[in-house]
Amino acid sequence: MDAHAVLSQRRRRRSNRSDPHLVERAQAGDERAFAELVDRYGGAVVSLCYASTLNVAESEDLSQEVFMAAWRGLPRFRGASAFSTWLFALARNACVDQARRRAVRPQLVDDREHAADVVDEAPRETARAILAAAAELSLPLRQALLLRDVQGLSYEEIARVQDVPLGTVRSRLSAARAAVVERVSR
Amino acid sequence: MTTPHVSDEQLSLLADGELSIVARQAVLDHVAACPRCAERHDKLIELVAALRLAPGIEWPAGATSAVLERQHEAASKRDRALPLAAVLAVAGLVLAALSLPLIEAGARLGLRFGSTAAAVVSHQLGLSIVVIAVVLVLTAVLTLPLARWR
Repeated sequence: MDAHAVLSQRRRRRSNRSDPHLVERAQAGDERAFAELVDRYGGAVVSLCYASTLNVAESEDLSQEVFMAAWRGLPRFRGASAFSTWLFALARNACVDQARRRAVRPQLVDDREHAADVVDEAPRETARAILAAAAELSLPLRQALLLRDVQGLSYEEIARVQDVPLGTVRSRLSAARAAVVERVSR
Repeated sequence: MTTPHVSDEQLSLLADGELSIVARQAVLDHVAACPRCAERHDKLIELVAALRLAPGIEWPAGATSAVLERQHEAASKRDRALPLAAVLAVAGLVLAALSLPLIEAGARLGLRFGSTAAAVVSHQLGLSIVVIAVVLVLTAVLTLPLARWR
């Protein structure tokens, strides 16, 4: 069965099955169950990848690699942690590896078609300057900043994606914002 | 006595509406009375507002299909890898098995006809086949990790 057939069949039978149930099915080779997990966590994973790379095409490709790694790693996943915890760890590691491969800070690439939706040019330019300053931040600070202010994740969601306590999210976010304000004001 | 300035974290939490009512009022009171903190507060609010105008990213339509397609491609590679590894390994073992009689035959020829040249050529040929056999088996072993992927 090809991927489109799998997806259309899955959409017809959309359910609120729990993660452990879907993981168990996926471990048995059920692609529809795995596709449901991908749909469920795709947004969070691609957000994290974008917050790391600041490049839409690269983050989409990287997040697909994360899910490929998850599929390959599923037989070894024993459920010691939640599936999301395990998946976000894979995503964070992929982001770190990607950053090492590039060995330079991310370059902002405005390859988004919907960038044109921002009607006024001036705020967009300001946002670009801020994102360029954010590119200079360390990976955890940049991730926290973009996950919150661009992607609109809550503190709790960021804590889950970064696997850190809420207090760390608060301090990372305030440090990131202070550093960017400082850089943009120079 | 001067009131201590509010911290970056307090301003950040204020911008996100994450302070308690009491803490929020205390920070707002300080900001209203302190030009330095008012400026920090304004810059922070501008930063957050500008970032929220930046287009975010969503899991694209079709991305889940793309993941499944890539899985199928990987599975297809795996399906090809296993027979390939088996063929290489068998070929290597057959060649290794053939090389020993070849070396022995060369030695017998040399003894029977007193020709050391025939023995040397046969010996060298046998050794070359052994090397090729080892390379084939090693390639088969290196191909196996591909076959282990799901």
